[in-house]
Amino acid sequence: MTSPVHACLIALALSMPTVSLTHAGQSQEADEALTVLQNAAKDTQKTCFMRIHFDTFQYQDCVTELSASHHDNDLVNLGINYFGYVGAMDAVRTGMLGAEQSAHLFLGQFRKLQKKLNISDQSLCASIPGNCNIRIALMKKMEQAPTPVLTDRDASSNHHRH
Amino acid sequence: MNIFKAKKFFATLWLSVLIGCTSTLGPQLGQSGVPAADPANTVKVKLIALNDFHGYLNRSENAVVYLSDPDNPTEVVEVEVGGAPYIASLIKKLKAENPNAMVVGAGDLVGASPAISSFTQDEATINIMGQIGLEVSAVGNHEFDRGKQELRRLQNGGCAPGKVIGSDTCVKDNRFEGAKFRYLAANVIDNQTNQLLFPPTHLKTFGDVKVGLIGLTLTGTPQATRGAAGLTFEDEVTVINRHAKSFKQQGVEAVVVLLHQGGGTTASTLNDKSCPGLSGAIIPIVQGLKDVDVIVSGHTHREYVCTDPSTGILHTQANYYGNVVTDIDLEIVPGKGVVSKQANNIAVITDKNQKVPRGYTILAKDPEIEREVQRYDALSRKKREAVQGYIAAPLPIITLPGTSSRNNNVEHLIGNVIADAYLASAPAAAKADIALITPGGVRSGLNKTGPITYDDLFAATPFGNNLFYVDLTGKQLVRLLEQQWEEPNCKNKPQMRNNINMCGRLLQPSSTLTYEWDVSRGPGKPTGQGNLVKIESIRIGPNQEPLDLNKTYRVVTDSFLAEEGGDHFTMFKEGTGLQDIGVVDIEATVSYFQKFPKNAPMPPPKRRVTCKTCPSFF
Repeated sequence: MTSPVHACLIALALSMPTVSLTHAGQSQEADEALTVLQNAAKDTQKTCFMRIHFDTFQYQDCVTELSASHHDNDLVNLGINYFGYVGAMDAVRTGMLGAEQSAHLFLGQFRKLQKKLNISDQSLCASIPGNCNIRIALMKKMEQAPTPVLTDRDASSNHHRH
Repeated sequence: MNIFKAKKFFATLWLSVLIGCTSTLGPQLGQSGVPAADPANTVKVKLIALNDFHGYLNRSENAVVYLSDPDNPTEVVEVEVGGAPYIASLIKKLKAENPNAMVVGAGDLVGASPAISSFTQDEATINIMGQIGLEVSAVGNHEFDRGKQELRRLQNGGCAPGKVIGSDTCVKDNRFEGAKFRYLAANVIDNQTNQLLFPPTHLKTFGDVKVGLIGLTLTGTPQATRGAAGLTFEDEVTVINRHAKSFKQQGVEAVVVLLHQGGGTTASTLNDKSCPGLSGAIIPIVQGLKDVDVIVSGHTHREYVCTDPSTGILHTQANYYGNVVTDIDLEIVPGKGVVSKQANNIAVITDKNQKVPRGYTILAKDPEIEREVQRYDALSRKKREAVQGYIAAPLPIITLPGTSSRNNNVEHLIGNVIADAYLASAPAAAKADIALITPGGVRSGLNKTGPITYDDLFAATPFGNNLFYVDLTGKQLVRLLEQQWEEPNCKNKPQMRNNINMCGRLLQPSSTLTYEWDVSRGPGKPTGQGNLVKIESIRIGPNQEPLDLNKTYRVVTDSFLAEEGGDHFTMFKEGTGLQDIGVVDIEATVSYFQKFPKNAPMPPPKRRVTCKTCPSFF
């Protein structure tokens, strides 16, 4: 089994060439696009993220409203909806009611924009910190799975006051 | 992003990996600014931490976590987690690794609890937390749900006033001795005495070293719970720094904060120590602290292991409902301080899981705790299965055509009945006129006739929200009703059916409010310009009197709407005379159903809202 020391040395070694390669291959236009995505994601995180515990659907509404307020900017909308997905997945991974439905919703939304703007999974992933290998694999897995159906029990707000 | 920014971004990324590794490698590398560990006299201390347990003695129905698989880096494995008997086993296992261990909590151990705990006034959870070895915990906002006197009782013991001994309180040998663990509340001052509600700190000695613990909750507790009246909640940073400094002056080697406030990350799996995308209220708190080594946090129900790059403080959170436990290892040099610290979030993996990735452990139930949980379960089941009343016809939730999703823009019979129950719960002296609940306030319908149990009603209204009344003028009431079809209750994207935009969120009214609305007038008007409700059709009260726009009406609703203007019904926050009725939603509902015995079952409620222009499925 890999020791923590070993694992970290590997991670450090891998991170440097990836950074260089990514940087070397990026045009200024792509760099600017990444900045727009990062800012949109950060804005969504700041505005909506903590609502997901209080009420999954308040989070969903918050992201949707933010997205609607930028309906004329596809790139910003991509950043918003991509964070919508990543934020929902943070709740999915700990079994929060309604989170999977929200994740599916935002996955569908950002995929349309991603395709329209021709942005790769890796580039998009770089806009929000985290393990891209796992995030992208989970995205693909979720796309292959049927959309979860809302039941009476989880179709409503959580209303849990934290 | 320009080149400079790109370099900075990736340099930051690399640095964060380095910081994460430094944290992970703590025992090997030590820390800058502190002496390297001397194996001869270093004391190893283990903290086992949990937060936001909320009385989930049994595993929560949906409790899972995603684990990374060391043999397949692009895969995650979902496992079932949680339950007090499994937590007990994990704690025993961790304690066996290091006898210098203590179990700590970061608040919300109780409150918003399932029936197994709430039926005993949460005494069940307090007892079991003591049995599994919890020594000290911060208070969270939910500890105050039933007020400060009740929280003092949970700490000090005694039966709950006004409750049935042996059934609702003091369920174990007709006694309740109080918590075996100590609640800490360093920032909670009782306004009556100007004294702290509970001790602020706890000091524990392990061999030649002392560990000082400071426990506190968020300053926003009064906004998060109704029971915080008469208490002042001081600023977290000021309070922590005061006690941490005092600890250091006393020669305490390690300072640990148990804080009911937190953040969240954008991690994809459990125990991602790179702490990606951390955000939330925890950040300014951590960055404002001095002389603190570790923070065990809570409140946001997230899971993370982070090291703040500016202060070096290790801060953790372990999800919620006992699904995860944080295992924190400190190496402490007597007279000097903490020389290394590391933490792992460990999933409480039940033996319902057949297989887990390499490096994870499936736990067996602790038999002693399992027996206790089963005893409380049997007690609560007896109450849950008791018939509360009878209905003559089903009270369903209406779904959208062709789907199983709730139609939020219609009356649900169960919603009407619960609104009637809310109105009936208000004291006669209050002279309440109407009651309203949001459709999301009803979780499920009663799809049968005949006997209705507590479990049936709890499934319909499980939130545990307190009921309030609030005064609205006739004009405000009209505005409130218009908000049902205004953005964002009416989505930006039209939800068309038969050329009708069917969006909206219809408040479920009591029988004392009837009115007509006209869908053809078009939804989504800006606030202040809505015109869907036919004002002349509104009738109020048992005698169905026409609405007077200048008269004040008393409206009963739950805390979600009354206090927070939830579901975008912001007009509630413009009301006056907000008053807590002192009744919880489920209590009101149960009391109402008890008025309908077998020989006089509840008839189906009449419709209160008319829409002649709506399609038939409304």
